[in-house]
Amino acid sequence: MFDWLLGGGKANAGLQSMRTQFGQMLDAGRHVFDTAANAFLGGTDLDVIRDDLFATDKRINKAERQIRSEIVVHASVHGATEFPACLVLMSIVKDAERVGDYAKNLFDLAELAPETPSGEHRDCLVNLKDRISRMMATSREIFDSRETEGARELIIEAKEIEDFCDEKVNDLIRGNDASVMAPTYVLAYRYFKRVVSHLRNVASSVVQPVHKIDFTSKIIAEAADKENEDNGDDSQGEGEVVVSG
Amino acid sequence: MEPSSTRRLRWTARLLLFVLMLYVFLGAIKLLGMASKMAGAGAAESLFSGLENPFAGLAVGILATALVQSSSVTTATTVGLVATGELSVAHAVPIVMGANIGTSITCILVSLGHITQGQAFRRAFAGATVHDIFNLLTVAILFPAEMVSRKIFGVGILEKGATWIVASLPLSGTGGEFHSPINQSVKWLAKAIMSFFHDLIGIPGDPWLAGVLAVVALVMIVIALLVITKNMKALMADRIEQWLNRVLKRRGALGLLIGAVVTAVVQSSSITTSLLIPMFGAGVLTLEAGFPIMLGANIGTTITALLAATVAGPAGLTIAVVHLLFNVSGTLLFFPLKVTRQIPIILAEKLAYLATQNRLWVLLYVFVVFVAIPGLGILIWK
Repeated sequence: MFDWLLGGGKANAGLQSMRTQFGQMLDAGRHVFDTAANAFLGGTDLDVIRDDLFATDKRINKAERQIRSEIVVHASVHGATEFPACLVLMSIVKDAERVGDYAKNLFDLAELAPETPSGEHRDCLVNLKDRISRMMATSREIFDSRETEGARELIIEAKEIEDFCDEKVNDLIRGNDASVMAPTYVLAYRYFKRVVSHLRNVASSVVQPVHKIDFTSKIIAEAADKENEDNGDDSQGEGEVVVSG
Repeated sequence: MEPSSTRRLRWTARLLLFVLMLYVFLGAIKLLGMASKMAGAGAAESLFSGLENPFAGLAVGILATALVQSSSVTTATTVGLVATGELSVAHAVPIVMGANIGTSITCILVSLGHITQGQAFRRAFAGATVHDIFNLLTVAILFPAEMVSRKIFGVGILEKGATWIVASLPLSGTGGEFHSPINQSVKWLAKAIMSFFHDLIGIPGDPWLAGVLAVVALVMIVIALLVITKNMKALMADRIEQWLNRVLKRRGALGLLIGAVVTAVVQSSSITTSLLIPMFGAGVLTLEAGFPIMLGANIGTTITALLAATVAGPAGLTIAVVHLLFNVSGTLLFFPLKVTRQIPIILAEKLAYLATQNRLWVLLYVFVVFVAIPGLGILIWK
């Protein structure tokens, strides 16, 4: 009776419920991404997966609206102390919803593309797809555990993938690939990049203060500096003599 | 995360605080009654003679509640005064009606936080005024009904109904007091406070002591209710949030039940209804879904007067039951049928539309409800 009166015995049950729903959004987003990417890369019959994909995306959108409503209720009941947590959720729930949207875009691309991807670009995209799918699972774990080191590593990996996708898009735009599939590949790399960017935003909510969510250039720069330092230390260790003073 | 054992300890402490403050509250009611008796019949007569004018009673209820932003303070104080016999049930009925109107000022003030936000203000203001408009409409029907029936039958319909209910209850005690352990322990507290001021501080007998005790009692009522509401809101926040989430999209009796239970637990309709205003403003709660919650809050808030009546005797209990009957009657008048349910909602939406076109409508509305109506009524009666 006591526990029931107090909301089930768990402190801040409302916030926990929203976080659980958000985690489920990420899981659903992963499912939608995997399904759409497999369809695009030629592993699945489009007609078979269409209904499931769109239904899952609809569920993601509904979850976003539900979480947003609950954020308003939570902030109204609990007051100003809960605002930062509410603002964070409000920001990242958009990122989770956008993952679903880009996955749907990928499916549309699969329907419109003149051919099934092949060759070097197909191998590249398959590799990216696998990495991104793993990152989605990792981002869910990081969000649930609030693990800062894992969040930083995801942010750095995301930046790597984003830069790689930008490079590929630039090559295609410069006309280095004159095939009929060039525009399709441009969009595919673009969509993959956007999915990764949104995962990066989710990870940033674990390590950044509220006003700096989505802004990760400092984290990336610090990681690059550390890598340079480590590389510099390694090269010294290989026999190069540094004269001090 | 805080360990569950620490959480339970904290929550137990809050529950104990609630029990303590409830004791202080009931002690204050008892003290108010003692102060009133001490002041004597002459003082009471001069203080309450103006309340023969029912519009004056209505005005007192509206203004007193608007000032302290708590209908519970007004109704509990009224119960305490009626219990002594210095204020009659008949004269107290308009006060409790006015308390219902006065309590909605809190929501209006909260909605003004959105005043620069266009559509958010429109939604928030509509949410704030739907409660007030409902109370105004209920008073517009039941106030004249009470006065006319009193004129014809010698007793108003609400008073008659409450008297019958109280008479049917198996209450212990005769002659104006309940002989319960709670009443006895609360009496002890009131006597101890009186003794403190008279014997220790040295304040001479009536009317000085009566005046001091009355002020102390009122301060105790305000502080006890304030602590109770803050404490219970903190204690029940997670459960309240769950219930409100459940009722967001629904329009029926569940909202009524949740509004009543939440308000009864936190002992404040202002807290329940003002929690809804940001939700109205954000658009996650519609007027159709929020209106039943507000009706429930009206009913739930009567528990404070009923609690006060446990130490106030049959007369005090009668006015507390009048408060309950008034709110239940209002709900039965407007809630069951869709067409009547829509009346306060449509009026609130129209008023909110006008307020977004010109903010002066807000000032006009507050002036009319909280100043002009009571004032005009007093003038007409005179």
